[in-house]
Amino acid sequence: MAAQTDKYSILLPTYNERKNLPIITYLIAKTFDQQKLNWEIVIVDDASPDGTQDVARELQKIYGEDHILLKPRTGKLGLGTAYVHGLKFCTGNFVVIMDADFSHHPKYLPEFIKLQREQNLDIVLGTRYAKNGGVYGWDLKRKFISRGANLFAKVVLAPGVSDVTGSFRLYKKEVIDTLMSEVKSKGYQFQMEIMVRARAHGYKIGEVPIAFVDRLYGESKLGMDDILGYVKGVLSLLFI
Amino acid sequence: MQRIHKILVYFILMSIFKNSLYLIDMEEPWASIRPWTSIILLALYGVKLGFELLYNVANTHNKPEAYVDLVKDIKEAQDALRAKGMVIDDE
Repeated sequence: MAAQTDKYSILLPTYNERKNLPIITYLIAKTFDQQKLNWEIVIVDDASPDGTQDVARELQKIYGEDHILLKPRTGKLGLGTAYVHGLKFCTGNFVVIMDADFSHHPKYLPEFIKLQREQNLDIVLGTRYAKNGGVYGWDLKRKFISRGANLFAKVVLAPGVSDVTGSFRLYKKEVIDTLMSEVKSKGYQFQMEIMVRARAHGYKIGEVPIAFVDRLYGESKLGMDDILGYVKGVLSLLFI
Repeated sequence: MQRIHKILVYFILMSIFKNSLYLIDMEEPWASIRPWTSIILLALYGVKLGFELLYNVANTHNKPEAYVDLVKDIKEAQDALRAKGMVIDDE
């Protein structure tokens, strides 16, 4: 498809993102408008009690309902099903999946798009662990845990990408439709399963280095249950 | 081929390699090491992964400028949205 007719759908699952949503929307809109690219944001809100949907409606008045699509759900039903739900309403031929908590900055999207066009890639993912990628807000313990988890997944699954659990990705619409119809996992292994299946399909995957800002607000907690769940999840993907 | 099949192939190849060592005449102490070949190979692989993890941790780039830029962008966004009439909480 010609570049002028490309449209980018940014899929934003939200839960209690009242404060972050307007700002991430502004940053996305600014990035795409500066690049003169056609865009829309599909907000899938899981009945947030903090008024996230009211904020989304205000954003629709500012940016237009053709740019901001609000597709709420009736309860907190999980990230994977949020993507499935939101994909039904995406009108773009490319889909971007990213977090709304500022850990993924929209300023990298032009590099994603440039790489995708140059090499006709099916998937472009943001990597924290290769080239000039990096992180802010990780102490030594966090680095050990995250790099160890990534290394474990790479050894066991050999997905062919440097950042297996990253969730800042650009997909061709038909590619993510295919993958989402096959994915069964939840939680951490959801993103890994997508990559493993993408490799199995032989999709062309490229990487762009990003700076990941971890948890601008608050602290993340990682318990032994999370670690054991992760190991189980990785091992379960051996059979794909 | 599923990933599990490839891993099984690696184990079969390792077993073939270990058994093929019995076809070679070896002097002590190398002959007594033959039964432990698989374990030695796995241990060496584990050591390799350990060094790889240390290297990866050491080469995880810190990006303090990403935080500085993000805070600036958030401030810009807040000001722009307030100008458009949105009520934005400061935090």
